[in-house]
Amino acid sequence: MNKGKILFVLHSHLPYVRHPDYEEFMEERWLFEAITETYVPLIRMFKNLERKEIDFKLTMSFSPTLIEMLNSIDLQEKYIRYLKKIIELSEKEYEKTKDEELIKHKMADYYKNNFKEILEIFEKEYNKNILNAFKEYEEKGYLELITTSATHAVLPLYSEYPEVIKMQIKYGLETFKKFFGHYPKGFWLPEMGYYEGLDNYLKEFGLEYFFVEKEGLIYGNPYPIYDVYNPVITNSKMFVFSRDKENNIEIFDTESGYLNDPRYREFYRDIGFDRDYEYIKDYIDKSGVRCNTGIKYHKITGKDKELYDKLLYDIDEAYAAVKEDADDFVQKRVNQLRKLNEKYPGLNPVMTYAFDTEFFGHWWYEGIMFLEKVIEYVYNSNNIELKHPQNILSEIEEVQMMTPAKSSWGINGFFEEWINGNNDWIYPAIYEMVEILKKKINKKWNEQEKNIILLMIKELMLAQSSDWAFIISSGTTVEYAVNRIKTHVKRFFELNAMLESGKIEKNKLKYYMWVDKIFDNIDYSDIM
Amino acid sequence: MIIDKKLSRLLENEEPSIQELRNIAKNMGIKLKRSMRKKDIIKVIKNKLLQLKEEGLITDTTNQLSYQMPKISRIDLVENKNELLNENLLVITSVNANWIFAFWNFSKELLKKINKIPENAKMIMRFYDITNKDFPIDEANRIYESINDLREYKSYYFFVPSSNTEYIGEIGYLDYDKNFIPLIRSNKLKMPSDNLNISENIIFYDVKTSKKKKIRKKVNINIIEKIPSIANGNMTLPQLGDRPPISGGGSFVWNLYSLNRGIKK
Repeated sequence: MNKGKILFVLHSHLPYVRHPDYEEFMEERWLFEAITETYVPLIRMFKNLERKEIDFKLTMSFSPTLIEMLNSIDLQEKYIRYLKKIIELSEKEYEKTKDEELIKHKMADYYKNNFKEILEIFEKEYNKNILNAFKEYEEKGYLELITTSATHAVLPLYSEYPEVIKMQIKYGLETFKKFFGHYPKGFWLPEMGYYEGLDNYLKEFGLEYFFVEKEGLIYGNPYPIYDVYNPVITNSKMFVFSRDKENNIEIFDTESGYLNDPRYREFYRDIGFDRDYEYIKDYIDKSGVRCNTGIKYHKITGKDKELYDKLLYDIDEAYAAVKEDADDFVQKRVNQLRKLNEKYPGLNPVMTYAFDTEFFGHWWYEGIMFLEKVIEYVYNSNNIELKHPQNILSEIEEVQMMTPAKSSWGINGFFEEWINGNNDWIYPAIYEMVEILKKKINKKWNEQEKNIILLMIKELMLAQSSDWAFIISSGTTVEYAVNRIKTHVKRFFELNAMLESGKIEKNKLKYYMWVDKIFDNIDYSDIM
Repeated sequence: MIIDKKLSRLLENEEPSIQELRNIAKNMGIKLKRSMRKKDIIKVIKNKLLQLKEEGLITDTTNQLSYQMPKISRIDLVENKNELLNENLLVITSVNANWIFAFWNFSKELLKKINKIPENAKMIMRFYDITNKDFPIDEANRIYESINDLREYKSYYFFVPSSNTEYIGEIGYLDYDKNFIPLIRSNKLKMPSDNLNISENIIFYDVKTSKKKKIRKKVNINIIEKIPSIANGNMTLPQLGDRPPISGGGSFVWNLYSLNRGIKK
């Protein structure tokens, strides 16, 4: 049997939700929850695998906005304050649950120890900057790190403006280099959004490969003879990997995917909502709005169960499910390989699995344990092996040349989640900003004026973040997303007015530089 | 014009406010006089609906989707309109393989010109299929024209029949002799493909020598394609298709309950 190569890609991204002007800010919890439930547990997984001498290969993409937030000193301090509060709560829970069910008390003990260990890894081992951990594991050869566009803009929506595309790519790469010390070879297209010609820009910046959704490959020209099971190359000599979409579903599917096992932890049942207000008030949002604390005592139990009717969660029971699911996943890959061997004799198929990193751990609490087990089982398999994109590309001698199609990993493979009747008002504003910026950028400006243009670029890019449109579509934190867009547009026009009138409001400039402290000192002169 | 049937229900079963009625009329391209009373507006709207029904242009979207979208009204992003771009801009972008979202901005000069267009002349959009053409508009493969009057809008969704096609759009109006007078031209847009492009002519690229090699190879396709949920839009395309089991984007706004994992209280 020809060996199968498995490519696991974890795309780590959060929009820029840093609010230094507030002591606490609800949306900053997105980052804190991601660190606690996903990023540090991933680091812990690396340590476990290394200890077991398992030579794992994972590809991880870090978005520039996430990189900037993880590197932000004030967010690091805020995170420690946040985590210490949660530890304090877990200690109280440990005492409180002594009089409650035994499993609950067992879980309270688990949470207490877990949070303390996370604090130890975050604060002591990596000196509050966990990017160092990912850098370390990249240097050890376990990880291949890549990045994405500056603010995770869906690039096909701006294909009319090469300046915008280049700016998003360049600022992304520069931010990555600033923290990881080198440029990446690969690029994660935000929302896997691709359009014909985008490969030329990526090539221009020295990149070698990117990923597309299945639609991008199968609707490409001509049809890929190995379907999504081998990389292809574009006319501009960029390698393209495509997601094994149907088989990603085994993990993701909210109806039949692994994450629905009744033994797994219920995301929506959290003591932030369950405990008495007086007891919990110091551990939820300062405004008094209840929110997740990360301490959850219930399992999914069953789809038909109301939240109040869920049974108690037991991590050991969940871990048994993890082992079964990981084993099932790997078995299915081996069976899939057998079929692919019959269909494509002579080919070592490449099976690409790409996910949002935060799906593991944050949404699917046991997801990281599942990954660890999958990696372990694959490592011990004779038929399939984990690879990095660069390992795969270095072994390729001949590759099919083709043009991928315009696509994304959103609904139906296109852009409906980012352009619809609820969020389309974003784009006229953004296009006007681009038109204005284009006119400004080629003129000669003094240093102060250049700084204003840099700020205008930053406001434009922050407004372009794919998250705002997606949040509005999904109906979750709509008000925040709308406000963010309005804020960036408003600031952009204020800055433009300063340039136009020559009346520079120094305090305002200083504030805007301070409040969103990203992409500083990136030279834009070669872009526009 | 395709219009959501819920409007007719609103008129028949509910008690809309006069402002709601004015908005409905505006969205349907009906011009109202200031002096018109509620019952007069309802009458005009009902007549228009009847006309559309007769023309077979009403699409019932009631049973197609269950996903509830949050309602967000159009938002004025910048208070001082004078700061906005005083330029002509017509942008067309693809939502999926068959839907185009178009938005536009008219300069003050063009607005003056538009104001002089006779009231009975509709402002419409034309799409030129310019796939594989060097001299686009003049040699367009096909030309599609919208029906409704776009004068009151700043953006619109259009259904175009062919995917994987290149379009240029123009907004203009039809003069007395039915000649199309263009006012503003869009960018060139390549629509996504939703067709398999089967060819037995395959090019292989040798990574070491950088040489290309053409071969003929029978392509064995037995993939199963998902039937896309059509974006059953009206002019504001308010609904998304069926939620897929997997989704990209915004891992922190994933809403498992919108995807039926249990019951949210």
